Amino acid sequence: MTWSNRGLIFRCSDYKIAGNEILFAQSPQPVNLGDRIRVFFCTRLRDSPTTWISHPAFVDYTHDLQHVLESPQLVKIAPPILGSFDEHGIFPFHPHLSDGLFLAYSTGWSRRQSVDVETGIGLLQSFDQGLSFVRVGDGPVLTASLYEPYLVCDPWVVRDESNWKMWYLFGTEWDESLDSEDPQRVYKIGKAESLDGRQWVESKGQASVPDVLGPKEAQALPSVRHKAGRFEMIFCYRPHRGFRIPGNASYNLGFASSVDGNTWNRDDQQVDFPLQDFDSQMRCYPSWFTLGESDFILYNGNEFGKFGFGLAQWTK
Amino acid sequence: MFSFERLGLVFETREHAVPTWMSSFAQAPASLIFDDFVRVYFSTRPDPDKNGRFVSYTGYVDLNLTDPRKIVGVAKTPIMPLGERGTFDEFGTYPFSVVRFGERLLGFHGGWTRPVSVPFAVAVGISESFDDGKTFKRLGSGPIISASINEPFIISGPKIRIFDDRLFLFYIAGKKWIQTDLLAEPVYRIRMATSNDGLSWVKEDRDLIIPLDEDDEAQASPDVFWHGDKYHMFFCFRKTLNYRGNSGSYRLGYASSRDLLNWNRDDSMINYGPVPNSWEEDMIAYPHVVQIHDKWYMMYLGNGVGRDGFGISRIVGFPKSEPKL
Repeated sequence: MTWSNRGLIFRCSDYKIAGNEILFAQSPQPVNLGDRIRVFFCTRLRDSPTTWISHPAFVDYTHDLQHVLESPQLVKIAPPILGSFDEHGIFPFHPHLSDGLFLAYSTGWSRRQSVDVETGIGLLQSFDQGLSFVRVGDGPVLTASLYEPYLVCDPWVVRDESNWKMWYLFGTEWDESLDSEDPQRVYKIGKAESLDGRQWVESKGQASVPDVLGPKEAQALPSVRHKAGRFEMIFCYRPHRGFRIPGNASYNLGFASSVDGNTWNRDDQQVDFPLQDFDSQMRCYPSWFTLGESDFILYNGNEFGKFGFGLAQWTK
Repeated sequence: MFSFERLGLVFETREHAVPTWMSSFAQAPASLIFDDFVRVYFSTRPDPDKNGRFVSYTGYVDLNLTDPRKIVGVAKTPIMPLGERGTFDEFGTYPFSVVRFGERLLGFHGGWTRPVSVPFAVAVGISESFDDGKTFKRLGSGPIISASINEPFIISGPKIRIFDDRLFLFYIAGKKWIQTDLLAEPVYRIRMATSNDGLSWVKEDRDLIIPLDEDDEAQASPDVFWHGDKYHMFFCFRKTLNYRGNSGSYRLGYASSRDLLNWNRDDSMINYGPVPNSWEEDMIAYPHVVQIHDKWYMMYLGNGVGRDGFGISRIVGFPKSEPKL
């Protein structure tokens, strides 16, 4: 029993979006709409010759994720207000369906002068199955706090009978140890809880998942499922330095499990499966989901998803 | 109506300048009363960098209890350094407000950082003093009150108070930035949060004070005290656009409340205007009211929002209490 690598199922160069070439298709996250699987991802739009704005998009698949039903399109979201937490883009974009509500938790980006960016987690709602979203408010539902001073991002929400749980990232350091690079982000996975999905109590700097590369290991995109009384998480992690340079060690997939959602046991071997060309150097931004009897991971490969996203399937 | 006796510019920053952190400005005075003196915290700045950008530190001056025009001591260093790289208060700690909370001495400060699209971002930090208010240590490197779904940015101007053993934080929250030809200008409003321990806060999540002009008013310095039979709030407000150095600049506002939740605004209760050809000719800003023994004082800022220092007035008359129904 292991994951089989089905390769790059969405290749950016095969499509256009709003008439333009697709720059990146990052953090694929699916929802089951009944007649189709809608995979949200974030692409990049240029706002100057040297800068990008990330923006959510989606592409629709058949249930076996073999065939694209409709070409990708941008999600319609009103422009952010000046000075807001998401004014320079949204990435990742986490759809969450519950109680008949079509919600999305966003990571909003805004540029800073002393470091490149600050982030926060926003909440949006769709009334047309995800074609467009409106912000529930202009501000974030979760952002920097006393023990989580910056870079709150990458939300993943699981709802059960009692409350809402969110796994997400908080920054622990802007690492300045490398003279040759700008300060680099170090973040860990935290857990927040909420009674209404809007007001969240954060993890107060308590990292959920043990690290294997030391305290400067950066962990990202905790995709969590709750099944048979157990929480299981597939995420990605990387070293704190050199990870943007092709050929160096960069993001790989990690795995952890927990009985109570608070104490996690790490076992990355659970997501060790054969490489293909597209993910030969990097695997990142995993999204774990179940369709019928099958488990899948959608994720990005080399260069943080510049070329598209791939699929792994659990085979018995 | 309140009546005042002006005592003048009591703390003149340039007379006490320390180039590394205190060249000009003494903003947002906030008092803490000791047995032998009253300590007034204020925020000040060294000269700007070559790009004209300021950072802001908080220091203090100690004043005589019976005659607060007399200076008896001045801080030699800021009460806390600037925040670490990437944190919310990397470029400024302003304003600062302090409260005795049981045996503890807790401080709340606005932390400033530098976005790219607008001139600043602000969130509120918490700190504690272990040396009788000379220095303060952050309880964490992040903010204690930050942006939320209905308060998207500029969480600033904290004023910490205790009423009925509960902590009340009055502050301002930004509503929008208005882009002008020169730079972006913010609209902000007075808000409130409450806490039992200083760490866990519940925001009231609404504006407390109705603006005179919905689209063009910035409110600041919500300074709340109990006197007579109700709560009083002194604050200041200005136009959002075209306010620099003219009639749109900061003026004092006033509101009163029985329950800290519902406020009746009546700016006519304070008739305290600028004085021509003086340090307070352009504006009256950032009021702070304090009772020292049996006397009441208002500390405040003048031209350039405290560029020269801060001044004091004695409050010599309070409005008559309304008859009880």
